[in-house]
Amino acid sequence: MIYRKIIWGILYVTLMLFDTHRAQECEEMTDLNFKDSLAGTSLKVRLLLYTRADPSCGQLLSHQEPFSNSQFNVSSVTTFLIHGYRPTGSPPVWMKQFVEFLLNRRDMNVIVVDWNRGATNMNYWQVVKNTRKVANNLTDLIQKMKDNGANLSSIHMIGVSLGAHISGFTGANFNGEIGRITALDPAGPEFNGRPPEDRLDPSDALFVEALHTDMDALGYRNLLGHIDYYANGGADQPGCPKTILSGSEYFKCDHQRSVFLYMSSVNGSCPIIAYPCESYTDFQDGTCMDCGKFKSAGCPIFGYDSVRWRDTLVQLEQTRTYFQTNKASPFCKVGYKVDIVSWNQKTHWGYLTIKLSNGTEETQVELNHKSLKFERFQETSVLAQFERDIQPVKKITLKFCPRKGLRPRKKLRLLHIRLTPLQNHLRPLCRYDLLLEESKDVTFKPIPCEDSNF
Amino acid sequence: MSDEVELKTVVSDNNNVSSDRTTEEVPGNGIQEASHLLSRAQSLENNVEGIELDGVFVDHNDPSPKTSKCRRELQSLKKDLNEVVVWKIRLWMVILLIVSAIVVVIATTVVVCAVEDDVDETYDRSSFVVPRLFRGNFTLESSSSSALDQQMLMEQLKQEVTAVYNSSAALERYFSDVTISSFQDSTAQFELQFMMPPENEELVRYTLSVKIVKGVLQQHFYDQDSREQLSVIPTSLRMEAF
Repeated sequence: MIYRKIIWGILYVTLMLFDTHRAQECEEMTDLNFKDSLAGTSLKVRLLLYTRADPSCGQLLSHQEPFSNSQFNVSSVTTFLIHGYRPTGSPPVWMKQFVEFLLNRRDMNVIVVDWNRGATNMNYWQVVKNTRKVANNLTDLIQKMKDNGANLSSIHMIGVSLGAHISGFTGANFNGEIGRITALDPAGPEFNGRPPEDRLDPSDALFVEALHTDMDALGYRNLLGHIDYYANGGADQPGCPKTILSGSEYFKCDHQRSVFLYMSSVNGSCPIIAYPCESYTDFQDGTCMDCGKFKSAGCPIFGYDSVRWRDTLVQLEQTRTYFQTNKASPFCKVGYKVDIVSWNQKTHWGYLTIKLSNGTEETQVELNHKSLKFERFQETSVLAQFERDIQPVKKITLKFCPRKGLRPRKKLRLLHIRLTPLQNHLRPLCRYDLLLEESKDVTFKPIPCEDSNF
Repeated sequence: MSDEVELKTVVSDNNNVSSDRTTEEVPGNGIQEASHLLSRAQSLENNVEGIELDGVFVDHNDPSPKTSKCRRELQSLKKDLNEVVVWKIRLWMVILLIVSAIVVVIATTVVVCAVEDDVDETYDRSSFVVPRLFRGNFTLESSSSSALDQQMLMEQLKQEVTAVYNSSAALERYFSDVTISSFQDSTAQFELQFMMPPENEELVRYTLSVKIVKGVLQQHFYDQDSREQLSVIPTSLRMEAF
């Protein structure tokens, strides 16, 4: 008898759950089209809540009573995801996966700020005006959350392009007490050169980070946060089209890469180290590999985990960092600092190609960002970033291509080459006495370095 | 093609052209061309029906004027080339001279560049008079040393070390001698002698530093196949300058 009751009970509860589950309508982001963009749209902000209960099902939060939704846990961490300008009206392609990655990482409320009505407009200036209004709307919500016991420091706002400045304006309304703002290629047009109150700045949150991937077109050029990452120099991204012949990709590829890079950091599959440096040229020359100012923590890891360096970064006020990426996921590269001493009496200039092999796989890098100078008994240093990690390195192949000129065939005479891995704490690899003939491969087996220097 | 058409109209319709010329109604180019052609056409013999425009014959029926024209042009070219420029020097000589001068300049540059001595490969060994000495030891894998007679082994090691330094691009010119002074418990003691020029401050710091001299020998030991008869433990190598 009692078993029967239990079975009925379970069945009832299951049916109820099924029923309530079915009753939940999953909300999607507003989908508009090019016609709407031409006509222009008036601002309407929708807030879609995603939780671990169902990471793929968004629920509309009411502006008046956001807490009527039982899944909205105010005491938990809340991450806002704010998109930018939408000239075509379509919802961002990355939104759903971004939400999934965030919820996969930890339990939290993800609130997608859908202001597609307002962001879809051929008139960019009108959209820029709307950013303040979106920020005021979010300020209202966050104020309600605060009144209901939410901790401002557990709020993280991730803003893409114009969304970055929306986060900044919202943060400024709370005097920078919001926990964290992540700006993904913050918008440049109409914001470049503006004073801090008219854009995102480090005072807008306890920790502000900005990733720059298209600063020469749609992105912002200068420092905006406590830490600014300039991926691949911050302007042109690998794998993105260089000519307009590739259609719309030409316009959005660099800009959108910021989102994919950050998503990859949330996913946590392959960490990318961000090196503090004054310029990209210095970074490529390998002069910025010193991470001493971060003590035992080392240089910050780009992206979601950079919050571990928050205290040091806030203390340093503003830090400009650089890293290089691959053209697709996994984006992380494997870096070596290469130091070379040559003994040619005349100074030689040229480019180096380095190939690493473990017997079955190999990876190659062409150091052609500028021609290297090889001066007698002077150390030449350069950063070599390989597409993937090859371990153990059994063979190294070097090729020297001199800078063009009407000269006899040149030979580069190396006294010593050292490759110091930047990750994994592996031992540096050395080789002595190499003769590199012009454009010819020289392969050798590296040996463990004994001492560090002359 | 348009030229031909234009031309034919002009020739067949003389009156029109002349009237055009007087009234000057047709835009510039056409008129000039037409009048020019007209005068040439009139100056030509009656039996020549074809008229040339920019070297192209309009009339294809009679090839004879073409050959005669060619001959005439060839002759005038010869005359031009034989013109005296100055003193006894004729035009063709001047042209030939300029062309050959260009060829000579190119050839000498290429030759000079190709055979230019590599400064890094020119040195005078007899000027290397200052000795630089190193000593040290290394240990053989126990299995490889037992099979051979000690004297022979030391001789073989000497040859091997000599070969290493004689094949080194950076050290070969300075390398003078190696002595294996003793061999005990699989460990060989050795002494290396290099000869340097009197000015050797940088050499001692870089090329003939312990780091490089040792590194060159050590990487050879690492490169060795362990199946070889004499196999040295690479990490056992010790070396110092004295």
